[in-house]
Amino acid sequence: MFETLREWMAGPMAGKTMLFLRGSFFICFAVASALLLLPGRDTLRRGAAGSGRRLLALVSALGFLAIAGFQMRWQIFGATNPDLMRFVRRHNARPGVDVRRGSILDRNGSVLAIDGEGGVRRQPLGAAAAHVVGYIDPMAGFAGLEKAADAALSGVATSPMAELGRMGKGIVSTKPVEGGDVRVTLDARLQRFAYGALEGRRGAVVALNPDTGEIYALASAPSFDPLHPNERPAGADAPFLNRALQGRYPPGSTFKVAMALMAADMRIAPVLDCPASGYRAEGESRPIRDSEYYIYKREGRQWRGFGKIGLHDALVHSSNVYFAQLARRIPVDSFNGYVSLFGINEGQTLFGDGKAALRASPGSVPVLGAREAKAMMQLAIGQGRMMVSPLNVAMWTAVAANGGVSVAPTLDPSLPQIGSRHRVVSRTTAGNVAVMMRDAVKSGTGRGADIPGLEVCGKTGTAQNPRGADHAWFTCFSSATEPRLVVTVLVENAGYGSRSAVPIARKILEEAVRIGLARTKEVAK
Amino acid sequence: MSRAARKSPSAPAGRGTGFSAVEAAGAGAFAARMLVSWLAVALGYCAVFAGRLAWDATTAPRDLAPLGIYTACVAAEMLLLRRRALDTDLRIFEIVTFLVGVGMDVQFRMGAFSGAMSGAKLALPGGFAAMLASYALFCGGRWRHLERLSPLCYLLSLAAMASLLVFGRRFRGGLYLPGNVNPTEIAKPLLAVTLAAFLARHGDGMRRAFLGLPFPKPRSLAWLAALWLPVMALAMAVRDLGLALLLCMTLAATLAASTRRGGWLLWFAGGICAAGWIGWRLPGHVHARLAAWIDPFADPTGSGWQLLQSFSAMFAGGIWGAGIGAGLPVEVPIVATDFIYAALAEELGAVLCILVLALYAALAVRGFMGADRPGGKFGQALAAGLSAVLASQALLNLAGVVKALPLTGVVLPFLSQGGSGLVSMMLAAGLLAAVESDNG
Repeated sequence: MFETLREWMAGPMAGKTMLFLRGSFFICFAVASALLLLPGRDTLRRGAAGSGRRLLALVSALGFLAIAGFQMRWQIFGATNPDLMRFVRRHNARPGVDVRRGSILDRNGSVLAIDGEGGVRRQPLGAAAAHVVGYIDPMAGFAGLEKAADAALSGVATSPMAELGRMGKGIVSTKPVEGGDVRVTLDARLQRFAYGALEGRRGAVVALNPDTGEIYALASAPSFDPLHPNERPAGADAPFLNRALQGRYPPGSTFKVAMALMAADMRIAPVLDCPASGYRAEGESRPIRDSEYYIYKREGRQWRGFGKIGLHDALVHSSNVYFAQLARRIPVDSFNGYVSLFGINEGQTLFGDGKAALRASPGSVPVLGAREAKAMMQLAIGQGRMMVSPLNVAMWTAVAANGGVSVAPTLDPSLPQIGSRHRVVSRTTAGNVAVMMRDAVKSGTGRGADIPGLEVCGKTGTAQNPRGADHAWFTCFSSATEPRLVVTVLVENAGYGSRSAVPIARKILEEAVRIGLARTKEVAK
Repeated sequence: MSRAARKSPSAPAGRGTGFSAVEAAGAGAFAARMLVSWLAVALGYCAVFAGRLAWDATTAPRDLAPLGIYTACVAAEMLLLRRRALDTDLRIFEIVTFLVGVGMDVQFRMGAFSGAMSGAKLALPGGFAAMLASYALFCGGRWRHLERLSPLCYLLSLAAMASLLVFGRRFRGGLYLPGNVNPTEIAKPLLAVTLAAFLARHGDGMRRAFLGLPFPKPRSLAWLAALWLPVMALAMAVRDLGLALLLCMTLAATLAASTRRGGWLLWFAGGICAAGWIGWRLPGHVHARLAAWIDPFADPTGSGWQLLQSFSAMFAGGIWGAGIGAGLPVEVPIVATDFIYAALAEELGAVLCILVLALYAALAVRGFMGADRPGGKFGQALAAGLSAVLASQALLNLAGVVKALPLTGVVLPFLSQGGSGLVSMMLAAGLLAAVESDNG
């Protein structure tokens, strides 16, 4: 008899038997408690309870009610608590209640971070995307997109309506809680390539679409292993700093793009004499000179200066002397106004909201007072009290690329960018400056980036800094592709931008075209 | 209900030859409720048993023995009480019997009763014997004799705590006698009796109040202090803060009920807050407990581990539960005793948990709001004290498990594993039913 029972429970009907037993237990339990709770025909005589006892009855009943409330916080609304979801995901042994953390996917659905066997996080790009994708680690905590998108990845609904829907699902089914996947605008291939192109040198790369603000790549080197964020890579200088977003550098000549945009927009484009002796403002001890002066001097030759040049030639040849004089003709208020239109001093939110959001550090261009007009001379050539991140540089480059409209950069493909775009300069102005930048690539300092068919427009920068050799910059965009593509490259302490940053940008542009992120217009036709 | 049926104060109804229609209806309803709740308990037990058959080869017919014992106990209880519908609050027995049965199911599911003749198996008949014996012994107004016996009760409770101090050995931070018997459990109902007798005598002195807040006469207060300080000292000496807290809650409830002044609860709440604040400021055990309560996520794998596993179990249970035997409550540390409610939450789900909470609440409300008879000062205080022992023990345990209050190390009456706890709580319930019976 007992053996028959055992065989039955080992047989095909075991599941249904258990379901029947558990179901009838549930129903019977509910009926029994209801019977015990419902007031029956009370045959016992009762007197009036004293006020103290009535209070005690009330207090204890409220106590049990409060316990039910606290319990439901975990039992029914547990999915709204990110801390609990995180704990359940990592320390829960129940196979049916596997809270899978969602994956981070790039624009094409390629995996940037995913839960592997046993809930171990995997990041196929590793160090190449460590800063932007970030990490989730019991000791080190969260960073990057893992932090910014944590609520969605952990399966915590963000809106009350979504939460109601989830509760409904919990009532009618026992589907395990799953974190949602999060898609970002990054392109895994370009990201990997951009990091590789830096070849381990300290620096950063930003690649974005100037029309939509979508960021394709945010590389920063040196990097770290995102799966072991507690281990500091040996010999690396500030490996955890996301140089693309949090780095603070003088922009050097790349700021001349912004200066050219504002000057042309105000129709201030004089022809100025730019002698080899440089330009010295009244009361200043040292003149501002062009870099050619120093190059010639080092070679023991005499440089004759650019002579009388206009804005176009000044940008193509990156004349410090011209821009320092130009700065004297731009009213301080206008300068401040344009800086704020470029959004340089704002910290851009790239993904998520609230405290956990992934943000870029704001740049710092001083807001000048009426008496500080002379300080603008240094600022005009991207030196002085001015610090920006590579993303800032990419943003003003995007204004030139995008017909004068600034679009907030983002990693979130679901964000409508319509509201956050605003016009900075007129379309004509942007077109004019784009032509200047095109000529700078064709015949000026950015020749190394001239790729046939892309019509690359760009500006190099060589930024003096107190920490050693100059920082090398190159910021550019492809004007003949669909969509257009902005690439900004920074290599720390690498000397001339044209020598070290330009080749990197070139490689990245070529790769972007190769993988189809930007198509040349001839091909599109 | 006829007037005649109510008037037979001295002789319990049913003893005589007359068996009125009202009484028959009451007896029938009692039997029906007992049978349905027994069926629920039996179904739960069978579900666990059937589930275990599939994976545990050592499962044998003898594993059904606890259910048989429980059935026998329920049958004996029904026989004994079948004619008490007129004079006794049978609902107390029904609720306790059902909760004990559910506790047995969950204990069986957690792997209790696996030894040949373990203490857990003895606890069940022992508890029923204690409940029914204390009822039979003290019903019919005989509980009044306890007032005279209260000094003995007091000495016995002190002796129980002292014996633990002398013979106890450490286990999980607490002291236990060999066989993990905890004699302080019996001190709880005994002290309820002591307090009731004390307040029946000194209640008037304790009733004095100013602006609604009780300010007792110094003389009465001195007596109370003389009675209570040794108890607290012993509770501290055996390092059982949960016990001290529980006894203070019982004291406050008994004071509030016998003086009819709710202000005592305010004094108590203020005292607890002050004590908690002092515990928070001093480094040590209390501070660690409070810190783990305030933010268990601060140290998830250390001090917060147990609470967080408890929440995980609740989260896993959801609305309908995993089904008895289908969850994984063993992940919660010491789930069989302190955290049994987490297992309940995981396997039975939110709906049944709310019903369990409602049953506890009903028991407490019935205890506090019970019959209020003339000359029943001692009875009132005793009923309130015993109800407070049951209710506050349940509240302290449950509040700890769901993080409404810090963990106090108090077990859940009727559901948690543990022999001495089950026996003394069922004894208290039987005594409470006797006090509430209408034959004084």
